Amino acid sequence: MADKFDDDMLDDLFAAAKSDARQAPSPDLLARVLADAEAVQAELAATPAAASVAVQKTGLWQAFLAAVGGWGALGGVAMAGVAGVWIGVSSGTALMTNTLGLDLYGETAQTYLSDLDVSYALELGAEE
Amino acid sequence: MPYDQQEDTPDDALLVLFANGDGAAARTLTVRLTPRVFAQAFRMLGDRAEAEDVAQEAMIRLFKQAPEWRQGEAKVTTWLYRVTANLCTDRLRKAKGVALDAIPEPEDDAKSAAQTLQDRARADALQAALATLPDRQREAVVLRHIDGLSNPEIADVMDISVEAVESLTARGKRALTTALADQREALGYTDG
Repeated sequence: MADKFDDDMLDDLFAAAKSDARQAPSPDLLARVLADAEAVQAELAATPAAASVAVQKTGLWQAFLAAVGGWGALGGVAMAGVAGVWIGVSSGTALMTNTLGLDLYGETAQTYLSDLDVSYALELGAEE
Repeated sequence: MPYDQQEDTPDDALLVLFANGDGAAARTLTVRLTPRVFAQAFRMLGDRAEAEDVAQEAMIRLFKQAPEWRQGEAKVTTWLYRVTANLCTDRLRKAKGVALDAIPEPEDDAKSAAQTLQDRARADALQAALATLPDRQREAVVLRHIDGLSNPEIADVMDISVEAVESLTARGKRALTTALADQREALGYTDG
């Protein structure tokens, strides 16, 4: 089959091209590229202030964003904050009771530390 | 970081080290990436001297880009393939026809030569056939079938759709087959 034969031939030719040692760079080229690299590094070192400031500015913000999980996570934090404020405002004093069921808002009764922790009551008793 | 400890360091991390003045990173980047750039340029241009100039220029551009490189945003090799391809295209436009003449003809006595010589003749024949392709077809075929990039990667390098890449490589292979049709036997291929 001609198509299959041609495909096989091309694959073989591509393989020959891949392994062609003449496509390796000469040592001279590598030396020139390395010399260029060192020259560019020397230029960069000559202007360290601007470069390092740019890197630092990007670095800190990127690090913060990465730490919190990116822009999506920041949006989530903002939404949670807004939701918290809304719950606080809309519920009035309904949520202002502690785990003992006492009203901490203080409209209906005085609240003492001894209501929260009986050890205070004992200490007060001892002082009296 | 010593040179021999950087073999597994990703390209973009090496660029950051390079921008911070790390000499070992300069050597690792040079040794790791120059062969790829040179090979790509050689396949597109068919001329060693021209390919060396392009490889050197592409690497300089990469080094100068290092301080502004954003990690994780672009793949270093993809960026390099694109820069190298553009530099090659510029040269081909400026010297249309010159590179074609510089490509050596396949050796006539390849069939009787040793395997390495035959491989060399085959590589030369392919190179000559590649040179007959339109620039974009050649670029797509080289990236796909010799450099081994995936179609999406090539689409990124050439700034075209994956479908366009598929079309270019398919047409390129058909054109190569036609260009090589009368050399099959000389290159040691017989339709059995």
